[in-house]
Amino acid sequence: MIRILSATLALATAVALTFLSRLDAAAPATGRVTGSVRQAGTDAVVRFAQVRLEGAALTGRENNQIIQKIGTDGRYRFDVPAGSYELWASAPDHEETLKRVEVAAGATLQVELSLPPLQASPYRVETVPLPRQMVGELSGVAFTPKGTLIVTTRRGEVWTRAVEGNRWQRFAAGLYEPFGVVAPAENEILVIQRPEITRLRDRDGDGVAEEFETVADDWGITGSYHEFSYGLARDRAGNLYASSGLCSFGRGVELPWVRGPLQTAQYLPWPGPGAVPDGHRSVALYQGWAFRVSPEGRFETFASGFRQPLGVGVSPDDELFLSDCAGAWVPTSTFTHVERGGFYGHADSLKWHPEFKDRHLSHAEITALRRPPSVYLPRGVLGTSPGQPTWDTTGGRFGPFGGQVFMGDVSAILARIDLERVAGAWQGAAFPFLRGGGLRLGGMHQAFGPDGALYLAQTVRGWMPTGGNEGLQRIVWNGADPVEVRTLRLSPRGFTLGFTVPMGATAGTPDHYRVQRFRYLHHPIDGSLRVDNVEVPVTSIRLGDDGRTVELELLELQPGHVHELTVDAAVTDRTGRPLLNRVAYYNVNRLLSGETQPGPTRLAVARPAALRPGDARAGAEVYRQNCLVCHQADGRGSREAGTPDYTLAGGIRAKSDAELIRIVTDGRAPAPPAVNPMPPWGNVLTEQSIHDVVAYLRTTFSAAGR
Amino acid sequence: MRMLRHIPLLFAAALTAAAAEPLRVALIAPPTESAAIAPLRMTLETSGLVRSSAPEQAEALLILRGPGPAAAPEVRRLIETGRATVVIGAEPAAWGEAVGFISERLGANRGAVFAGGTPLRVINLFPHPILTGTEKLETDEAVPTWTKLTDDAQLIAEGITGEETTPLAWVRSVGASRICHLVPSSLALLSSPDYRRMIAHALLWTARRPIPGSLPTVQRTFMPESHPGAFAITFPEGVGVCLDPVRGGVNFAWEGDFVDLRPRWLTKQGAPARIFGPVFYSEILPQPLRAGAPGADSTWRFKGYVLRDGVPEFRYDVAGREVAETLHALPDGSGFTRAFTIAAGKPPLWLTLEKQSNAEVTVEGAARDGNTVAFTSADSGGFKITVRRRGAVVAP
Repeated sequence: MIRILSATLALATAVALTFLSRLDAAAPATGRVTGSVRQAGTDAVVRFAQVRLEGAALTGRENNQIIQKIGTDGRYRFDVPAGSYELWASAPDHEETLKRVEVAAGATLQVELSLPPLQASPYRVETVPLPRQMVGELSGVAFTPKGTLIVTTRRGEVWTRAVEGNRWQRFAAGLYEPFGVVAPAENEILVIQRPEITRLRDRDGDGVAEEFETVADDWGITGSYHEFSYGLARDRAGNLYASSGLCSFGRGVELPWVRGPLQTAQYLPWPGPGAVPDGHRSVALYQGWAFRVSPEGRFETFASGFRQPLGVGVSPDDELFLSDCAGAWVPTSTFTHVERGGFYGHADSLKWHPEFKDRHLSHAEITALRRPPSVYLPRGVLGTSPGQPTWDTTGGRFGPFGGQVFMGDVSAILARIDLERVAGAWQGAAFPFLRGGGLRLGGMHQAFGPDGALYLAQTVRGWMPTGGNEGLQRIVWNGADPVEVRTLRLSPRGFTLGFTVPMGATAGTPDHYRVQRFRYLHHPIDGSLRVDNVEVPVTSIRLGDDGRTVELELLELQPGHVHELTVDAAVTDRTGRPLLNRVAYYNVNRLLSGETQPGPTRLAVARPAALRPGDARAGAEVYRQNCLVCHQADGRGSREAGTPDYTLAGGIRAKSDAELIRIVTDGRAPAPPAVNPMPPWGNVLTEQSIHDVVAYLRTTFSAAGR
Repeated sequence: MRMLRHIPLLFAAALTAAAAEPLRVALIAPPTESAAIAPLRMTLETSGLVRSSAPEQAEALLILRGPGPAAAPEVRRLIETGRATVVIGAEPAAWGEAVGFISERLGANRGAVFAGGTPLRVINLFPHPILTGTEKLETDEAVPTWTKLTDDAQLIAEGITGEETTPLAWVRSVGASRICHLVPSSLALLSSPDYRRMIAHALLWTARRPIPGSLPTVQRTFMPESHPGAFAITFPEGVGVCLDPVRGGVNFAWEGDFVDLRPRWLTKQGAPARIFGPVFYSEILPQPLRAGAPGADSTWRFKGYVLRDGVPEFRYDVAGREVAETLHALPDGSGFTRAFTIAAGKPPLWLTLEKQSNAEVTVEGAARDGNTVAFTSADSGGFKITVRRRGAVVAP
């Protein structure tokens, strides 16, 4: 059936193409609508804008519409049958714009489209100029106590920028892929390289390191193409914290030069059919572990059960937190308070565990052993691979979020996390903070500077397109209050929202708050759908007299669930400004009482609705949240990310819907020389969402290829 | 030669006296390039390292773009007879019928202008003796893309714009002769002291002359036949040493002053770094330096390294005894030395050597019994290993 449908679509497309080519020859029944797309107020061309013309006269085309991607000149042009149309323009970070137009035969209609930027954020993203001789694959950023900026690059260099004169100097070179840095003193820089933690010292004061002291190198490395050492964080006592990611073993690489013992067999053998879906394994010593190095250089393992724990941070109270990237055993990315001796989910690290290495715990035992993350970061909305957590200790110079955690992501997202200690354990809520708005990809390391700005070191090489996406950016607060849900805290029967500014009366309406709860499955396959997803009715609401708090009571509050809060766009502050971000995810590991086990529920989980035909409009949002960073807004893919050009003759048009759905659902091995597989999304997106995104690919990128 | 007298070659004036026999260089350029010739002439006149010469007497050729069609056959003959050659901004049209020859010699094909002429966002210099003293290059000129570099081309500078990179400078050895191509050639750049010094160094390097001030380079990477995190130490004398801090010894040494890390930079990690030149020394036995008794197990820790004037001193802890090892190239480039400095301590140290078919290994300051070197004193002291390759040496 699908094949027949595809053939029909292809035929329809061919007919439309023929038709349009006649139109280009100025057939009398057609008219032209043309113009440009500009940003309102600036007249600048809007990146990644697209214009959609939709009308009954386009019957025969998918959704009765034509979509054009806007190039660098900002121009668009449609030659179409006479008739009434809706002309839509959209672009990332801009409000969508609609105009109704009447196209007359033989006439040219000039329509200028102006896209207002989304509500101006009081946070401005600025790109920090780098020396021209530095390849800006920035993998770490820190400041010395006096404010000298330190960055590391994946090509093995350490650069400093002096406080006075902003003069850059290469402090060191020849390191092996540094991936994090701290600078406890002006002439002492600590770097984690792939094989070790190193203390670099400038002994003669010439601004260049002469001493490279090995502080710790007690974990295993293999030389696999995908194997990273992460960090670096330091507590007030001088202890260093770092972690080791799993080796990507799925490609069957030979590992003849391993440092330390090698164990390639899985701790818990893959129970399913076929190849292991996620090849990340702990094949060398302490891969998937966090460790600590004392000021005297004593190495000790700290906690286990991680997959790619690339965000290592120490709170102002000297507690260790890690972020981990979604994959097997990590259903979506996480942010976790890590306690000494804890096990946090990925089974393979247990093969190095002194107590469990020979016991071969069962899946059930591993589940019982696993400690939950403090916060889940739903894939898409809050990124794909989170980076280093950084606590706002600026004393208010970064706005009203003092004490909260900011965390970048490989996608152009910066998350904000509000933690609270509940019954003795840290848990809390994750909010999107910045999405786009000039933020580049790859911001996985960050540090607050002496100017109160948040500096992000960015690198994406090997994962995503590098062009224009690497380097250093800083986020600067302009002093105006953002309209945000500042805190989301657990209450006895629901949540208390704290706002950054006094809110208007619309904030006191129960219908303006939607709460859903769900769970994730921690299992050996990549990702997890939302399980037991159910809407939790808001039973009462109270807006505080000062407009800064809202008490939400829910029909019931169950531990062991993520609670998604969505605030309606109608909620504004007292001057009418809407919220900058309207969604948050609170992970209720435990109630205020300390209860961690869900009780009986009065809420029934809805059965999935019957599958509808793919909806390209819904698919556009799915694509934007989940696919865009690798596949690009224009669908032309990226050599760096190893993603295909959908618009080519052998692209989307050469594949059936069924084939596309299968690829999205099950993933696909990389086609050499690309090394990145297409990950399976069947455990992340619903079946309906996959159908929707395939409809979007079909309608958008088949058209773009003409 | 008769032909050369009649073609419009421009030769710089004789250089003032230099400290040590400046390199004789013939400057060859189309006459239309008079503006660009002036700074090149200044390079020859003021560097003190090189001086101008007639082509037949020259040890090296400095060619701006190309000799022009008329002179191309004669210049080709000079290159083919082994003249060291530095080409700046090679222009195929300026090579007449030798256009195929120069492409083959440079080991690359000229393509379209890079990135549509957009200024290079990054100009990245790799550690190579030619770049001694050069911290940066600054040019906004549109450069051509050179493609299909042969495998033996050693890229020493690259430009990056967007996701694309383009070679800006590379060197090759063809038989015993060397050639260097510097792609940027704007008048502003040719006039800059940094670039002029780089040109002088390129001339010296292609002529196998020492480059003043050049230092060893220490890079930690993923070397072939080594644990991840091994060191590539390249000496300007023309020796490369791979030191593996996990195994605890020199895994191999090769003839060369450069290691190509680009394979590491393609994706997340990529292939091992590339070396150029034959390996003349190798070891494979685990932990060759031990304490206690020969062959006995003993603990080993790599402690890091210190750079002294660019020369690395590696530090180890062998069963509690501190050991430092300093590597030097032999001045004639025929090998290297390993100087061990040992702190006072009880356990004697034993270094196991391995039989070499292409190198001779000698020991000073410690007793040698076959392939075992013993340092038995409890006092501080040291010993030195010299590795000299067998066979002819072409220095540096």
